[in-house]
Amino acid sequence: MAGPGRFLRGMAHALDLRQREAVDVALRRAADESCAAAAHELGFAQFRFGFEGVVCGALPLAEFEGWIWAGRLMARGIEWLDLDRPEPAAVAAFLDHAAGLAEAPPLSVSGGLCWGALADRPEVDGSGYPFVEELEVMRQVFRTASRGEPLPAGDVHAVAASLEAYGTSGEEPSLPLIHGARTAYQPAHALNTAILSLALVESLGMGAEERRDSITAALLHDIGMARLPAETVEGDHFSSQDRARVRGHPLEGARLLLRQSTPWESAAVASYEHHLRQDGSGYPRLSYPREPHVLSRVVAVCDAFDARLAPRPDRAAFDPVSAMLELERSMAAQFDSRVVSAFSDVVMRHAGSGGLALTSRLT
Amino acid sequence: MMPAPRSSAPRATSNRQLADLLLGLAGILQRLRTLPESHPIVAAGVAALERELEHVMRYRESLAIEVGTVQLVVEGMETNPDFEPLRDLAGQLREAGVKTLEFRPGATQAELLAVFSAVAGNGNGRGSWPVSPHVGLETLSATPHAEGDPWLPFERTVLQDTAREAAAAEPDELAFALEMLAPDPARDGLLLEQLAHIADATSSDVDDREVLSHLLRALPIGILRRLLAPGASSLAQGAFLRAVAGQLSPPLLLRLLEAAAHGRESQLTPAALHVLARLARRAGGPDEGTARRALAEELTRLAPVGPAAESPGQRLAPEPERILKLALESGILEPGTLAAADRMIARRQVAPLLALLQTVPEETPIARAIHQRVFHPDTVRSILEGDPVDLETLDRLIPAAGVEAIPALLDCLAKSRERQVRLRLLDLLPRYGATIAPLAAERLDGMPWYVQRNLLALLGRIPERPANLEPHALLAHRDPRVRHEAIALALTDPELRERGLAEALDSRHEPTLRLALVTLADRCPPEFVPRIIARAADPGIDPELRALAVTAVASVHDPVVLRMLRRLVVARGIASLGRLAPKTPMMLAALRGLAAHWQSHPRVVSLLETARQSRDAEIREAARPPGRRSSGSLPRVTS
Repeated sequence: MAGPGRFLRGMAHALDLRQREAVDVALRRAADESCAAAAHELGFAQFRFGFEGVVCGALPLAEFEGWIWAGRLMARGIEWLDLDRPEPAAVAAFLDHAAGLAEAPPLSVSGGLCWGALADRPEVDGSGYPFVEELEVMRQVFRTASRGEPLPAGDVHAVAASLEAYGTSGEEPSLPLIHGARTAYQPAHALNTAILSLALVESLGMGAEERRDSITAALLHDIGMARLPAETVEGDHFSSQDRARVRGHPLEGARLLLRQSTPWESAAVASYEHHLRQDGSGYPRLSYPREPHVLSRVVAVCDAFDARLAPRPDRAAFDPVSAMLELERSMAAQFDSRVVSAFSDVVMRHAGSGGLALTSRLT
Repeated sequence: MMPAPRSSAPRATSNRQLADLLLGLAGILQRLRTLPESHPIVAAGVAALERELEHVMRYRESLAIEVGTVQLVVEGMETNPDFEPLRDLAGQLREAGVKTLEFRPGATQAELLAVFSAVAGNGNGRGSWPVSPHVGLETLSATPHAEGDPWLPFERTVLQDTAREAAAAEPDELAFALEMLAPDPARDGLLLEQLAHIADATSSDVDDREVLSHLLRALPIGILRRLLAPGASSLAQGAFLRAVAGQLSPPLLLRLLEAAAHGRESQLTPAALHVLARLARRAGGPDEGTARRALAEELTRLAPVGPAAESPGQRLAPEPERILKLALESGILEPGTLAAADRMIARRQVAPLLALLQTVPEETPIARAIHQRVFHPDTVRSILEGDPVDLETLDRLIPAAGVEAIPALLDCLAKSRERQVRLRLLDLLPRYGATIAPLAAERLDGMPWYVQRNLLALLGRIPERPANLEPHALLAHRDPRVRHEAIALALTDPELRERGLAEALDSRHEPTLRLALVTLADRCPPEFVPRIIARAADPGIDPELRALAVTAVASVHDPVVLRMLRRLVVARGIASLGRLAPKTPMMLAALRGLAAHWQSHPRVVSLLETARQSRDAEIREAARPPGRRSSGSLPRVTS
């Protein structure tokens, strides 16, 4: 947690300088730059300021207990601060506002910084959806991947642990799925696929190790999509070039996952093989003909099912039962029949009991 | 001469090499406990250790070995506590008060001897060690655990009261005292070990567990971070986190997780902590067990417990060959690709790996990278450690593995009990030519008989004689099999040939005697005649060998020889006058000798004539002059 501490100390220093008169401009600029660099390095973080100190995420920061600037920020109406690699200009604007040198609206969003009073904090439009925080973490994972940086292994493990805890906490849990907006499709799809995979491996009678592996593989199976240009992912029509790029995402994902200092081999294989058909056709094209790995087969079915639940420019979204029937129709050629059969049981059981909950939108 | 490897890219030492180093170290300490420093066995062991170290340190600036009570930690990897030699080594080092052992490149035999003599002689103490620039020892600061109440040693350390006789402090008091202690990495490691011991010893006692929880709750987060900081005693941290992971409440686990994550941002970001914090909040309800398990898992994942042999999910983990196929067909050259290749090598799946490599053009980057790993001395070593050894793959690897593979090959040749493997290596190793001879010669001293035999056999096949080879002592080795190889070597050396022949002709070891007789078959110096005749007359020797002795000596124009040859050919007794003796291998050998070397001697002419008129074709053939014999009738001389 050196990162949050460094950022907060840098912020305090920059604010101190703002409050002093006759401070060299170059010195102030250097302090701003140092604070901005620390904020950028921190990546995604959420702070809450109170009289007792600072909370980062859900953790009180012990070294900032009774921090004088927490009280001062509250007095300026800044009770929370979210940042995601903010731009230096945004940091400078925030510092000006926090130091009382410039006015800003109660909620300010610009260049990767967002702050305000708790009462004004925007809530995610996903009422009833239990994995809002996990979704946020996965967004961050996809953002990291889009920059080609090493994936934050701890984040993925934490989400996987959370999902696993949910899936094994007692009676058969419901399957809470969510559809993101087009711009947030991938993180939501990753979570949905992981939740479906969890139920599927349970149904297939696999053990705890397989469960965890399948969750991780499902969370990361489409990570290669993060490397595609936004216009390709978010566009309504695919050009042939776009199509070629999309067909390259399994390979890009595998490359990213094998690049980690501790390679994610299962996830890399699932990423590479989840568009392969049972007979070895599909993509990418194989030089060494082989059947997809069992994890790839599990992820492929869940991936295809969730994809059908989302609307596309050329078709409306399927409802779960129709999506399942559609999947079964293409089963023989595309998927492992045993896996599809087990998955069908899962979907029909949940659809019948109302356990397959679809949250329709997320900002 | 073999080519050098295409690239000697730095590569981590194999676990096997590290294990060899540790085993070598264990051997040295054991020897030094019973033998004086000057004993040749000790010297040989230290020399071998120096060699292992040189190999292991080739790409390192230092190598730290942490000492636990039942295991060692080498570069984050724990040794198996069930593997007795290394458990004993940990115990010995621990007993001698060694906490950490650090090697740096360049350690000499003298340094190693000085340091480990001090360690071996310091069984009960917390020693002052010899100062060495290349071997560093860190001493344990206090006795790790006292018997009885596990809290007592912890209280003694925290309260700095070594005379304390009973544990009585309250957790808040202990937390405060611990907070007041000045930072001391050695003491922090000890404290964690003691806490781990407390957690282990009190796992079934609810009250004790609550006291431990209370203490950990009372400790400021800064102190926990310091205790769990990266770079501190990883062994103690791992032991502590593993011990408490299953015992503490989720919020406390989260607190430890935050402390352990401090400074390890790349592994656990604030966002991840956020999700885990929610898991902890779920505790108390039906999710308690699940949340606790998930948090404990994350905690042990962060704990520096050393890398797992394989990634989690062993049963479903994709086989490395699948990863490699994926990488080869898409050109993905990343750490995971190379790790998969390494895993195939470690599993000795080298043949399928080579088959895969053959399917891609050799000049592609990925093929080159994998090629370097496969055609590497470590791979040769791995193959050689297989049971059985994959000789076919070995044949393909050695030509490209380069001279760096020589030590591994020599090790295998020296120690292999499989005759087939030794023979194959004896065929392959001489291809290294003069490079290998001094390396083989330097390994001879103090080795067991079979090692010496194998190395001498190798040296016998290399034309170049290394300057460091001193076979004199080995000519008189008490084991006939070593002597045999030493004699074979001596026979190729003009200075040693005579002594070698003398030793061989006196040997009771028939292969050695045969070696001498075959050597002498072409030209026998007269001074050996008495010895050879004596062996020819020895009824305890195989008749074929005795015949060989007769053949060897027959060319020497000495009346004694003639007398012996005639006696073997002519029947004894008055009634048998002028008749040939019964046919035996020796009789035939003598007859051939007479026909070849004594045919014009007056006492031989009529004898040969009689033999040429024999009804026995073999006798007639043996009595013919050599130039007129059919080739099939020549005596068979085998080595």
